[in-house]
Amino acid sequence: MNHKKYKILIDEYFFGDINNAEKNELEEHLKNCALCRSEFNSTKVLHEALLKDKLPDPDENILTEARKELRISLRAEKMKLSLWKRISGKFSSSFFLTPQLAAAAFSFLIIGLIIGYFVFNSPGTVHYSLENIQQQNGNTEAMLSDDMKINNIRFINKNSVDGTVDFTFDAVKPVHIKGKINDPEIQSILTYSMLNEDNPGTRLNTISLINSSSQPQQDNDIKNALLSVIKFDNNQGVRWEAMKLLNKFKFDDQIKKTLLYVLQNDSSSGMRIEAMNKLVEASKSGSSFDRDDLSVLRQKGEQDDNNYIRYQAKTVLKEYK
Amino acid sequence: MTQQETELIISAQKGNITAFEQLIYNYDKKVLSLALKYVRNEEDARDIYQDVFIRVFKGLKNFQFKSEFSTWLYRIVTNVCLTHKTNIKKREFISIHPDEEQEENENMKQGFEIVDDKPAPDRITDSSEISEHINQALESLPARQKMIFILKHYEGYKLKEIAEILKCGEGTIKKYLFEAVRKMRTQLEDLYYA
Repeated sequence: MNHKKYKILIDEYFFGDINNAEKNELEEHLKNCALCRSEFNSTKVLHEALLKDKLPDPDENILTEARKELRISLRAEKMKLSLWKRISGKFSSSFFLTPQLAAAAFSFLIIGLIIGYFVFNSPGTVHYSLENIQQQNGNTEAMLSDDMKINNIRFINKNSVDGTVDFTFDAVKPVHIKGKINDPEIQSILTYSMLNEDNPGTRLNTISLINSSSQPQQDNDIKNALLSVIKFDNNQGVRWEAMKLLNKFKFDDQIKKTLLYVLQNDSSSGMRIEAMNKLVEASKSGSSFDRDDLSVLRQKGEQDDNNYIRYQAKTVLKEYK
Repeated sequence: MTQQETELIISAQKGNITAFEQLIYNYDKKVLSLALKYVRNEEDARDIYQDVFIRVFKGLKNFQFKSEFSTWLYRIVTNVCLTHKTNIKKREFISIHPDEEQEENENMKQGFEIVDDKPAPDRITDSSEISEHINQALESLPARQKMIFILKHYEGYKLKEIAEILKCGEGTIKKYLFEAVRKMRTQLEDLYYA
């Protein structure tokens, strides 16, 4: 008798992957075969035990937290991509402007590669002789001036017989950039800082710096970064500063959706009030609200903890009746 | 795939994050749930969740509508789960290579010993105890067997669907699944078959 076949049918039976003909065949076989009946009963016990092991769905809070983290990661990821696009776009547009320019760039590349071959002999670490350093920096004292920080000295050979020492170190030099606030390069760095700096003070200062410019803002990357900060930055002060900077941008649908998001999700009533004020202002200036927007306002008009927000939400809604 | 889902995918492929979020919010609870069932701790499950959706975001431009989006997504989920290194330092190494897995099976057959620190069968009454023992039995399975078992038993997928997700034949899935059942039975038999 083919017990192996019935063993498979027993497994299929318990996993619900058996058709009626096979089921009847198995049942018939079990009546006459003690061995398979025992197998069937053992498998049944296992499946009954497994059925008791009901794993609950994940808690809503875990899902909300996971979504929050993901939103930040996605925006950072997109920002990285758009920065890269901008940089590569600059290069590609320069290269393909004219054949002469492309030829010149190619020559520079070749010269660069030749120089690089002679200067560097391992990726990541620059190897200098004492003469190199003196030639480049005047003398070693000049190199160790106030700006340059030397750290992480690693000795490669300190027991040299002929008196030569060999070591590596990291020389970190602060970079000073001066330019107009609307320069694309400056804006790229500020956008990066706004989204990626760990220190909330630096993020705050970055936004304040952009805010200090008297000119209206138009850069799309800055705007997207700002809207991400308003929605997802975990520091309320940073979110607040970003909200203030929003005044420099022309009101549009993206800004409206962000304000509605703040109205729905921000735990700070100050942020929600500011978002509400901006929406009221936009409504007075003729911005339109679609059905979804109105539904958010309706919900806030009825349920928000704050009286002012409830009142203002109802005020906007009145205009749409 | 619905028309709305197709539109969301196309829009997300063009870089629209809102469309991407709308698209994945139809699935992300299930993804988190599957990850949680696989690793059985929240921290690792959340890591898997992040890893999966960042990969989906980066790879969506390569999605060519040759399969259901859900199948493509769960293929990523299972890959991430199978290669995930736990933060809890419980699993040192997980093989996804079939040959290595076979070797792993052989080693298990030869040298696996169960330390008998389980309570007597008559004491196993509450569901948390049952869950703990099943968890131990699941942990002892090789990664692929464990994943297939979870997809079938806890997530209720059909063998054909699991085969599509894991890109292998239905027969192979059956083999893995039934082998997993046998091992689970051996692991739990002291408790339930006394």
